[in-house]
Amino acid sequence: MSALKLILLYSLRIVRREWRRFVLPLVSLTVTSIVLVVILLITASSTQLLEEQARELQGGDVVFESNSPFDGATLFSSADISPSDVSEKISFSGTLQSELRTSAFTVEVVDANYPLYGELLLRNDIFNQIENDIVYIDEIGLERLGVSVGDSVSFGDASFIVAGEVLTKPTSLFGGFSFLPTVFMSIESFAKAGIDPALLRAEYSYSAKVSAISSEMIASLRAIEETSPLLNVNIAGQDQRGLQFGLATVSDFLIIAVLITAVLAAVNVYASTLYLVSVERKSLAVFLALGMIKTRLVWVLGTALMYVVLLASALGTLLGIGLFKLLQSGIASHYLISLPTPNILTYSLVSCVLIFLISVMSFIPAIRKSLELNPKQILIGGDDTPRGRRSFLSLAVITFSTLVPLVLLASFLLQSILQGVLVIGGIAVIYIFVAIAYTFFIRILYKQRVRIPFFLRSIVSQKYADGLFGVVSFASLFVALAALCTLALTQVSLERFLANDLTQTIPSTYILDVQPSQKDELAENFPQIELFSNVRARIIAIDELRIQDELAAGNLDVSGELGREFNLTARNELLQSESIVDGEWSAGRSGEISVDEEFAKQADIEIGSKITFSIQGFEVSGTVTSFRSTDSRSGLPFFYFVLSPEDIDMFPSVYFGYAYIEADIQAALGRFVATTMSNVSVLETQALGTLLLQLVGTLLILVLIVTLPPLLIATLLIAMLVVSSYATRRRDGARLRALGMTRKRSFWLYILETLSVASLASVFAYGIGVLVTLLVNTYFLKLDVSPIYDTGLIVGLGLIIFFIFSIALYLYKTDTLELKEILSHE
Amino acid sequence: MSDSEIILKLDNVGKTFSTSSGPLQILSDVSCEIRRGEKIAIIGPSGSGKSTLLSLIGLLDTPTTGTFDIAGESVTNLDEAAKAKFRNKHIGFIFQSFELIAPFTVAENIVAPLQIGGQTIAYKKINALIETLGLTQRRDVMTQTLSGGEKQRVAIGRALANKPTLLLADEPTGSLDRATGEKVLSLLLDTVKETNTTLIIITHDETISDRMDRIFVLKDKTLHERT
Repeated sequence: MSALKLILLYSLRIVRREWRRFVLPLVSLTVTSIVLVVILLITASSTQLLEEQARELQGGDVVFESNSPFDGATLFSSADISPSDVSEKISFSGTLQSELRTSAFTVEVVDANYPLYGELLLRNDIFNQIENDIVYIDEIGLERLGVSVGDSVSFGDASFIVAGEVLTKPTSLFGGFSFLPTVFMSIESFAKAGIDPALLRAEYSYSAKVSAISSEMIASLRAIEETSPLLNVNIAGQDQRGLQFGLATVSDFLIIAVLITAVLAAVNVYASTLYLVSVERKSLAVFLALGMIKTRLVWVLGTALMYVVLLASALGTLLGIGLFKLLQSGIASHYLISLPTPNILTYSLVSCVLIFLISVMSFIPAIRKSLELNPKQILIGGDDTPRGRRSFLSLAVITFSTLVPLVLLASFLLQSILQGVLVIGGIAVIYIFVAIAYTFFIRILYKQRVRIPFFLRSIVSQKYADGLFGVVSFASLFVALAALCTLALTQVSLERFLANDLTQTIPSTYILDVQPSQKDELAENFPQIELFSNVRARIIAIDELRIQDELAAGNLDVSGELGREFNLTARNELLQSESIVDGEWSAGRSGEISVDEEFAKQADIEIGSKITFSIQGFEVSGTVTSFRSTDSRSGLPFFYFVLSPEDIDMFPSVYFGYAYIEADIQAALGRFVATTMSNVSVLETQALGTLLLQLVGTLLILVLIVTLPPLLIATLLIAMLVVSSYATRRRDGARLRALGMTRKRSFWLYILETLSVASLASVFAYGIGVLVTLLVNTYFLKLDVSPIYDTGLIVGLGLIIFFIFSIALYLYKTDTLELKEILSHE
Repeated sequence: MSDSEIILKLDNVGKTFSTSSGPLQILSDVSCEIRRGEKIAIIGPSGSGKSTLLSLIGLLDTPTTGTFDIAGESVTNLDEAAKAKFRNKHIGFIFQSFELIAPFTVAENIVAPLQIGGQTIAYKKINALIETLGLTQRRDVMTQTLSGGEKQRVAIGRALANKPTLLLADEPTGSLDRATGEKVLSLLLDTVKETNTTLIIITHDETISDRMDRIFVLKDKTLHERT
């Protein structure tokens, strides 16, 4: 028989007859393969969608945007570009009203060419062109106003008929989420509303269809952008904007799910192979005694694993593709988005190769153990396993070499070697730390076991005897559970904060975009409203440091954050939510500035620093005389800089306000604003809170998905440990019964031993979850909420323990061997 | 090969192990010559080094001092791969705990040395061997379900399948009851006689050692032939 035939024959035989030992690596690799395929396909498909629909999502091949009106035609002409078609749009927030209610809206004023690309999708109708005297409103807007298609709504001085319900617009990927509902109207309709455009905080856009964009055109367009600081130029496929950035962020997040799953799968393959070699060491040693050389034995075991890898890759790829197709269809029906189908073959191959690499690199270190097999042990017994320092070094080398393909995987998915190293390194550090802590914990208990009762001593001894397999099981389950507990408790914190704590303190109503000419009338009719001026400015200098110049020169020591526009306000008094932590409150004194404490730390601003702002082309300076801290729970307006009214009231500004008012006054305010100042928006914070809760819920569902595959694999590992070690445990239990222990006591000892790892992991993971959540709440989210108890989470942990208990019970109850047979059975 | 041919020659073989408390000499100056077809018993007190000697002869370990030849070939300094090849071709093992390959059936266990050595399997001869061992009905059964006696018979079959020059047995009846052990031993002795295989057997049982051609006593780290 040729060597190849021998290897194939023996490996197949081992897999077929010892298939139970391969269940764990098979399931782990299959789950990893599914997750990898789904995420690769979703990411590729979404990227393809954004590329294919870049023009639709942007509104044109080239789009100019500005906060003030401009002549787009002249700009294209100056760039020597002749668009084949153009469309203009104005977007702003305003208030619409129906007979029953009022609501703030995002108003999109569009021309007859809208949209240049894509469709405005209507329910039960087709949109051709915007017409006069009608509006199109989305579902949420119709709900807020309490109207349907065919009803009448008013905006400013004019009334319009609702001609259709908007399902999706071409510039948004999801028909669903936005803070304000949307209404579409024509330019003529807007003119009829009689609203002074000068009162609007609007965004003006000029979109163009350009058949072929050359590099010269791009250069010209960029030059326009540089010479017009108030103008943004977006070129389809060139500029990373909101959705593309959002997609990249979500992709990175999902990639973490893949990586954690891959780490645990690699651990499972390593542990299973190690276990197989340990349990079958005598059989394997016999092969050597019969004359098989060690490398051939490695090939036999490796080929056995490859059958598993092939099966897992095939299963995982097919199921992953199936799941992707399901998601594709679900997204199409729920969100009306047609995700394109990427090159499935390519990504399937990539997934298979990565699974293969992970398996091989996890297998090789474990197989090193088989190379340590010495057939003479069969004759003279003893254990040749290297211990102490050599064993620890060997383990370190093994761990490191297993991480290599994972780093490759991470680098590939994250498109960055550094990020790949950091992410895998981070996961590995946590894992190794937990494994070491558990090992020491068990060792300490084991050494002190004489002091503890026999029942517990047996459990500790069993855990000690489980060795590396037990450590790996615990660490895997703990890492997965700790992540789950932290995420679940964070979600509970946010929900509690938004639903309960926040609603206790925040104002009932926010009022946006009040113009200076409208301020007095609003205040007169609704004295409960507190209004704050809001002037946009950029920081020119902090002391001698010229911020904009330094940023333009690429000085990395200056934070990019300082280069953006800030909202300045002016007040004489502190708000209830504020307190002075250093210095002295200016109380409206000219030339003094109060700065937010946290921002001051980040920007290296000190008491006495001189800050110079550019406000609408003028320079305004002041000296920092105080640092403020703000209670984030108050929901009151938050500004980094508070100046004296004397210093900035001369600049045209927009006012932002809040009020604590009852529902009836709120309704009256809505009507007043809709009738007399439609450019102003009134937001009910209760609705906002609900929306935020929905958003948080959606994001956290995504995050919970991250933890499910690793949790599944970790639980399977524990289950496998239970099943694999049942024979040994049964025999030990029989020995104890032979020595006089009752059957019932032996049963409970077995059950408690079996549940010990899962229970310990759950308890510690829950504790760590509480601690980490507390830290996240305090230092990151700044929430004054400390959830310790969550029913759903405790039930979830209980289910995992129950699952393992069920397996143990099943094994025990289906074991029909009598005591004497167990003791004599090999 | 003639009956008088020396199959195994040990020349001042010694084995010392390194332990945490210093070197531990197990064997010292072990010398002997064993001829083809001889049945040899090695006896000695527990811990005297019998299994160590057997592992050296079986090329599972390397002597610290001395040299030895098997079938006229010097095997002392062979590398691992060469030892494995030689072991497959010339040596058969029978262990006290049977040590059958768990995922293999009876027939698969028996032919394993032939497959490992890349030899063509003459199934007629193998079947004849299986019949001699009284295992025809159990041919395709997994070994875990066999009784102790059946398992040891499989082990004998496996050890003889490649027609080894030397058969090494470490307490082959140690895990069996008296009656079964007697049957197994008789089978073993009949088979080695038929094939003219040299047998070296470690045993504590005088009824077994008395049936051998020569008895060596391992005492004081060295081998003495009992006359």
